[in-house]
Amino acid sequence: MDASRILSLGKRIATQCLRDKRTMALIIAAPSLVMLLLAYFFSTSAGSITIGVVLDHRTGTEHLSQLIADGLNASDNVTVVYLEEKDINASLNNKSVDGVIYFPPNFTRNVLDSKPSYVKIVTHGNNPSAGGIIAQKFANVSAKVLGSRAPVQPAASPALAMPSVEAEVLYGEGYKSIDFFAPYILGLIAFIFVFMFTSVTFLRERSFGTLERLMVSPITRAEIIIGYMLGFLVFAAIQSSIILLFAIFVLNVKMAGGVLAVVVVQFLLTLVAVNLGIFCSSFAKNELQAIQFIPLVLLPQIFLDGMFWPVSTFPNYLQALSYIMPLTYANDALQGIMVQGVGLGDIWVDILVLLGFAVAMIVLSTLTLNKQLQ
Amino acid sequence: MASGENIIECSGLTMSFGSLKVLDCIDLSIEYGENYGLLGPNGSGKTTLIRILCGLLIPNSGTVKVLGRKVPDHRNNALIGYMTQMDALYNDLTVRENARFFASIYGLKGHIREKRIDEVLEVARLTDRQDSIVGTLSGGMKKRASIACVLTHRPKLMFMDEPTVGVDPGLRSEFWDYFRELNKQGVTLIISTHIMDEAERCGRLAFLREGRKLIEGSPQYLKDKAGKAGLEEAYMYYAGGGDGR
Repeated sequence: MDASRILSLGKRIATQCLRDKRTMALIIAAPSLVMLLLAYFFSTSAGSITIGVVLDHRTGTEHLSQLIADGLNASDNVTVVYLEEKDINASLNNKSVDGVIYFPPNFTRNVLDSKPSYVKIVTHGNNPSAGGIIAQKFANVSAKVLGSRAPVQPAASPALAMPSVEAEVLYGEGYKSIDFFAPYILGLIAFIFVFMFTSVTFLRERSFGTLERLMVSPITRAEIIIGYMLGFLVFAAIQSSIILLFAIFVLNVKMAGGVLAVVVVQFLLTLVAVNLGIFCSSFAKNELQAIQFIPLVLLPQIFLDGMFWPVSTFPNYLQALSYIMPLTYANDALQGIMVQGVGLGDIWVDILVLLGFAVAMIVLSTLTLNKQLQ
Repeated sequence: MASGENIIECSGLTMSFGSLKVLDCIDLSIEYGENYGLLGPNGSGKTTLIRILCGLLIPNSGTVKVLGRKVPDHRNNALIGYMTQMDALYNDLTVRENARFFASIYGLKGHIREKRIDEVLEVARLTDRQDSIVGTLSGGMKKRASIACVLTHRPKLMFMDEPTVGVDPGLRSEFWDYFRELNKQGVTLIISTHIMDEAERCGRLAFLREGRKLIEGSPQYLKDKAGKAGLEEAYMYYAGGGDGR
């Protein structure tokens, strides 16, 4: 093992990446644009979801909150469980529910009297899309339930007024949706770009004959792998810092936890991505084929890592798939750090799993180096 | 020139890719300091032979010893230079950055490294283009840069797979002067080529056809055996099956 050889290789990789001005502009502009879009666009998509409902204090036939809850329970992909008010936080924290609809004690009374009424939708910070999904379901069902009933005072409007919906996010006074998306984007972008760059760079190394030149030189296979990781760590560090700064200072994304913990997660994620890139490139004969691996490797992770739909809402077989994907753990960790402000000690499982992925991928990529030359 | 043991010694070397037999029972003895040429039509196994000698491929059978060690042996790498048919350069780096990278891989550092790079760039006539991005160079210049990159670590044994393809005749002649200079300094050269006036400059030649060594000897010997006046005609004679083997 020779440090200067590794450094030379690492420096070469970083130089190559950073020299390409157009690519450098893109790797910063593209993620920033995505985050900007997500800051305005909040995805509301169907998935199986469990809603906790806290009913109001009324019983009988005109128990509106009960009717709405029944309606929700009857709609597709929704399971309703009933909670007491005091259990809201605990249920959200242990993820037994994806969100809670809280009906205040005099909800039915107020609605029937055509007084202003409201419900509160409480979701957890680690489950950013649940709030939107629940709000949408609630709007559909309550419109159906309330619209079919006449008010007690017939002088008022022909149908009952819709209650206003207040959203509340646990851990979240003043949190915006982008606060929850930013950690996902940070992990995802580092992974995508490092994976993409590594697989193409390595493929070029092979198809341009430079890999052969390296293989007849004193550099060892292990040094090549380490040099690659080093070069792309520099690249990823620069990219991640810029995205993070953009998120914090331009988009005002909350950063509850420590930067060091984010660095650790990004570091591990980069190692996984570099080696996955080298591994995948050994199965590609040309650059076009290498590009084909990007959707294959990335799309399932993007959809299944919990970014758009909480992992707990997936069917079992998809959950199993989600748990063999490195991004799932990176995102969970980054969420914890940036939104909930936890330290490395609280996300040690994620760190350990990522470390395991990194080691496994390093072994695989080293093994496939032999295959690369044939 | 010969110093006891040969620099390359192989016997019964056989190599197949799947069902395709690329090298068939090759015996080869090359002395230290030789200037040895490999001739043969496309697909005759020249490149595969070189790659085995470099330690990039492991033969199916036969014994192969290079620099006194059974290949593949990683310790040989510091002493070997291999110029592939491809330019094998990083297109997005400058000529000097390429040379510097490969020199560093061979453990060259600082002042000595930069001096060596100056030397090889001089040889390759690239001194004034050293800060150009390789991707912007012409084909011939890339070839020159490629040769420069294989020379910085001053290998003892150089494999060159069609080294002067795409290089203009004037520069090719200069290259050969330099090769002869290296040869005089004791560097062993193994060169595969399709250019007959290059083959003519080799001390010994081997003609490969369909993975077999058809004949071996000095250029004159090859011509005499074929009963031809020129090497070109002799080449045609051997490529067509030669002495009927």
